[in-house]
Amino acid sequence: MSLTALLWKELKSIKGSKVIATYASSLGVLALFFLLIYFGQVTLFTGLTRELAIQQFMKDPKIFGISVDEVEKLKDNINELLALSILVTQLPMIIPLFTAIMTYTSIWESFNVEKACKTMEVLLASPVKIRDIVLAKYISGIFHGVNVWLINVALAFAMIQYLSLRILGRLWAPSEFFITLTFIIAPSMICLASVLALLVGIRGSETLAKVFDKVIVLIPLAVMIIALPANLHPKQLIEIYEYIALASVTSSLIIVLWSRRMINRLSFIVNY
Amino acid sequence: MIEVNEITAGYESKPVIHDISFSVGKRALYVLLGPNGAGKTTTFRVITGILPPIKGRVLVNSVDLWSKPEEAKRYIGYLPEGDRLYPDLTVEDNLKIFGKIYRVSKSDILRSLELLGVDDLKDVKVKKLSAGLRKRVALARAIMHNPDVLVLDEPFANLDVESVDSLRRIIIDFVKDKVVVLSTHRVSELSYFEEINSYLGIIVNGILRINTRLINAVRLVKKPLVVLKVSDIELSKKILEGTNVEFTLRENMIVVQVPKYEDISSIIKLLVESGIGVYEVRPAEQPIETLLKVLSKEV
Repeated sequence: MSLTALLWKELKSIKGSKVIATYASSLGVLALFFLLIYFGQVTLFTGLTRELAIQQFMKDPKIFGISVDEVEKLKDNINELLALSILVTQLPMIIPLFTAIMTYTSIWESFNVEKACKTMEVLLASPVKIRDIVLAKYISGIFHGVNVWLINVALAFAMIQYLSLRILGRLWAPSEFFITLTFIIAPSMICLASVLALLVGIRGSETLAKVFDKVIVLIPLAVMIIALPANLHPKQLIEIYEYIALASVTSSLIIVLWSRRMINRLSFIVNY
Repeated sequence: MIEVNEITAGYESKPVIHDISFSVGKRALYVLLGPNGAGKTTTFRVITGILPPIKGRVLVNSVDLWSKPEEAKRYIGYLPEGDRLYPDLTVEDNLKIFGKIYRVSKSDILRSLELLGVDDLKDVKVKKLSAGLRKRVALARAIMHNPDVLVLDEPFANLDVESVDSLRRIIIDFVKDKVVVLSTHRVSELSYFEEINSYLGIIVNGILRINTRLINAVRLVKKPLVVLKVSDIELSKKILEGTNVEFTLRENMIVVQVPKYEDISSIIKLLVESGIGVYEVRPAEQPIETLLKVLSKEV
């Protein structure tokens, strides 16, 4: 019962917080992607984005759900080819980034609100378990992370379908690359981001927060950066991604087991 | 009722409070008086189940707070120092959060807001309210589940005179059928509670030095202190020594204790007629140490 009440509180208190801004920015980036593609303004994407997209795409279009014959037919229309390659190679990469940022932000922000309003004291004086206070923040963070993840996946999928129908005249079947990034890497980022935020929240440490703030952006960025070497085949890239996902989930589990011991009432009172 | 038995709390290596014991029965007020940093908040954190004691125990309505916290905490309403509300939420939402925890109906939430005179503000965001109104909302949150024991940490701090007056009346009203435990660092607060069943504890450096009926302290507090800033302190001292006026010197000023405020005019007149300039006259707070000294002799 108290967990339900605490969850209700968590969802209520996102008003005016960074969580709303993160929702808006993730949707904003996707909307920008769509508008540029819709109006055929692919030249407005950065040179690096365009080059990377076309390089990866041309190495093995099948991994991205497009046949070689279809690519051959598109060679006369370089803008359409570029638009398609950006959507199928780059768009799935930003999903883990926003998913990680949202999960981390919502958990850490929730602890931050208690710190700024000094409300942890009132919560601790009420008949709730300290474990439920932490759990409510965790579940609410996961909820927002999953929300952003699913919304982004649905929108990215819809965008690719739209372009596929427009250019190829057929429905696009989710490729191995898309599935790896959206259904393996993104959930693994939810795991990692949630436990790092929990760790910072439980300790109430600003120093730890400053380090993890960077980590949580750098890891998904690394997912994009490792795709840079031109000689890396998309198959190898997918393998690396699977290792990253495995490492993220494993380290998350270790931190969760470890953090149970770190929930310390005194630290909550001193730091909050 | 609440029974506090020999609680020691803080850090293991450096406890903040030592062996604090007191008990308060129904329809009574217990005032914990002490200077800032004396251990009042730590004591309150222990008796509200926030901070576990190193030793000792707290019984609320005969339920051990630290072995059955969920049950015992339902009997307690807590108003911490400050308001500790969520500023971006409305008044009603702030109460609803805790209403769900305490399983309080919406009508009870609205009733407590009404009791504190803030029901018409239920849809207003807390950040738009004055400190006095926020304190009322926080108090409404503390009482909405109809607790038997109300713990109020420095309830009058940072409030305007009007808010303090109305809050005092509300507290006195609560004492009619509840246990109220409140802390303050202002000796002058004591006189407002002399007419109700009230007790006083004085805490200094984490030790409860005095535990007595409040009425014993009120008669001392009732003699007001007035600070006089004068042109010649030595001459003033000499003149006052020749009278039966009780006075002390404090940082180049004279602090006189008079039976009532009106008596100060004759002292000022005496000083002025002796050629001494009186630049400032203001009421002063009775030092806790003085009260402690006098009560220690009596208890």
